[in-house]
Amino acid sequence: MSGHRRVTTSVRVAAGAALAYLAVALVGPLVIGADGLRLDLAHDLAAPGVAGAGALGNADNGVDVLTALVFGARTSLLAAGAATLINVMVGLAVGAATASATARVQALVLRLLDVLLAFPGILLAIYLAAVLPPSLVTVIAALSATGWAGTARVVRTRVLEVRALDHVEAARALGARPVEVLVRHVLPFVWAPVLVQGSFSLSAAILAEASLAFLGLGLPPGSPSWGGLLDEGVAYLFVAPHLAVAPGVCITAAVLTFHVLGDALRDRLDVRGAPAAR
Amino acid sequence: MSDVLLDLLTLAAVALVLAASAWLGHHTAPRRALAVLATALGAMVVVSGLLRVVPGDPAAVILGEQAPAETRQALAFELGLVDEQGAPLGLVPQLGRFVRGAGAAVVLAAAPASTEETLASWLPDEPRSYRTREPVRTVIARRLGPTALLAGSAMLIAVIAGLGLGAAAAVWRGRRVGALAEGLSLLGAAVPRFWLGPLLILVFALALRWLPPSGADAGWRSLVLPAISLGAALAALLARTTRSALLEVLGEDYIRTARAKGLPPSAVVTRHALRAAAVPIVTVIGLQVGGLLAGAIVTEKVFAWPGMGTLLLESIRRLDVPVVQGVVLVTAVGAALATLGVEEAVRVLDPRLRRGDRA
Repeated sequence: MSGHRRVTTSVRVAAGAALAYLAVALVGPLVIGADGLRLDLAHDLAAPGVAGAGALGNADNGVDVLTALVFGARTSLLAAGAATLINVMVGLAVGAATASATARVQALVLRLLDVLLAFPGILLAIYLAAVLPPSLVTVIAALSATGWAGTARVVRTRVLEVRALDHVEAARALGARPVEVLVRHVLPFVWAPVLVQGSFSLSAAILAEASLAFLGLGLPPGSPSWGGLLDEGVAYLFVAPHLAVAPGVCITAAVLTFHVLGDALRDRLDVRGAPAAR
Repeated sequence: MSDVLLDLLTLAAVALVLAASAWLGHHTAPRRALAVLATALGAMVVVSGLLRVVPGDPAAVILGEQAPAETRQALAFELGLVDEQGAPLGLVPQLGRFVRGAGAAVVLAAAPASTEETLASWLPDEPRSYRTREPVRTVIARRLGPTALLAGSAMLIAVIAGLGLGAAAAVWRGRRVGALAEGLSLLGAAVPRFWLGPLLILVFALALRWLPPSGADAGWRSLVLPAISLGAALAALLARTTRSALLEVLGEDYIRTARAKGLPPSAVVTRHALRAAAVPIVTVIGLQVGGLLAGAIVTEKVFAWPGMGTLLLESIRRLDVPVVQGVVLVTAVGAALATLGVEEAVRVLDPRLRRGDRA
């Protein structure tokens, strides 16, 4: 069917884009070098094509936009990737532990998760970034403050589903200890929804990192980031409109990539109920 | 000693509300109201208690190590971290003071102005702006209106555009119009608010000169671009929800009946299908109010809109932590209240949920 082929095409594009994002973030800074980050006040805000400007033009203080974007990709991956890893690990631990608890404790934890999820995540991130000293650790902490709650809920549901399956029943009948049942017979079936959740979580974390940087609450001043570049772009919108375009394209593409990937994984792995993160 | 007792009583009340709402769940209206109260109190505990995780002296981190010792101690006192003499306070007194101060601010904000002086002498000290010494509630009250106007307009745009696009995508599924509607909704979901805003400014303010680029001085014309850029993501999400909800409903027997009895297609969709698809749509709206309020912070910055978002960022820049805490709390409680309101609306819309407590 044509619909099916269209889906696989968009998934291929998304997978390629995800690899490109990883490659640029990991290898890009080594290839392009930090020369473009040096101040070059003579070519402040030069548009692409003007003498002294880089391929994508220059930013504030003459910093090369292309170089800043490549280094911004590294910041984006470091912050969002670490936050997603924390979200997934904490979510797995809390979710699995909750599923093993008594019904009353489960009800209590679920309500607490509700309270946490009712708190807009980016709001808490802004508050944390405001009261903590600006650093990569602060940004990661801000991004993972509430993100794990969604994963915890998904993991709990999945663990309860899997525990009702026959092979788990059999393992228990054979006398396996509860921890052994959880680790060897239940958790191997939980990775699919966690992978889907992780992809959405990464997409949301990339957006949140860019938002914090845009609001001036990201890394210390001078560290290149997509959101920070876009912030400059808005400040100089009428003087240097080229500055607002490239970082916006990068953020949109990265967010879209992992969102589409999450959607595709959900369809492929037949995971129901994983929320579309936004 | 009475201070200690007061602290313990405050915390006991907080713990009681949190535990009660956790135990009861939130299925009937009073219990849900309790859940909103629990969210508010939980947010207070988080907002005040988080200062404890700041490494070293929070006042020094916020103000910088170079700040004079008296200034640092004044802020530490303001934040409930030390007492008048500068001796560090424990977590319990800190939380107790914060919750009581916030409670006093809420009572004073709700009470008529004529009773304010009498009430203020009875109540605990309310939190004040660290910079201007104005009560935090009056600072926030000035900015609440513009943010409500912006968020409300964005919601209106999102509902109209989202339902329209979603319905078009479902009714003309597989045709060009449907594909166009689907593409628009995917794009709207991916473009971040803080990029859509500048793009709209470039096109409609700089190139076409139809609308002002920023500020709130030009009446409704100032509102158009911020409201669109804030509402676009929600419109996209609503379009996707509407499309899938409608596709599910359009295959039902009673839709075929409605068509067979000769109703025009538009009436079939608006009067029968959309009504049945309303529950998931309204649910999504409720869950997204918080995101809309938080997104307003970014949008207000892009358009220099004089609301709570710009107040938050200004206060962060001026290190006015009490105002920052106030804005975070009001936004969180606003989101919780909106979610509650929408849950009630869903119960009215769905007759199956009207009787009995279980959703």
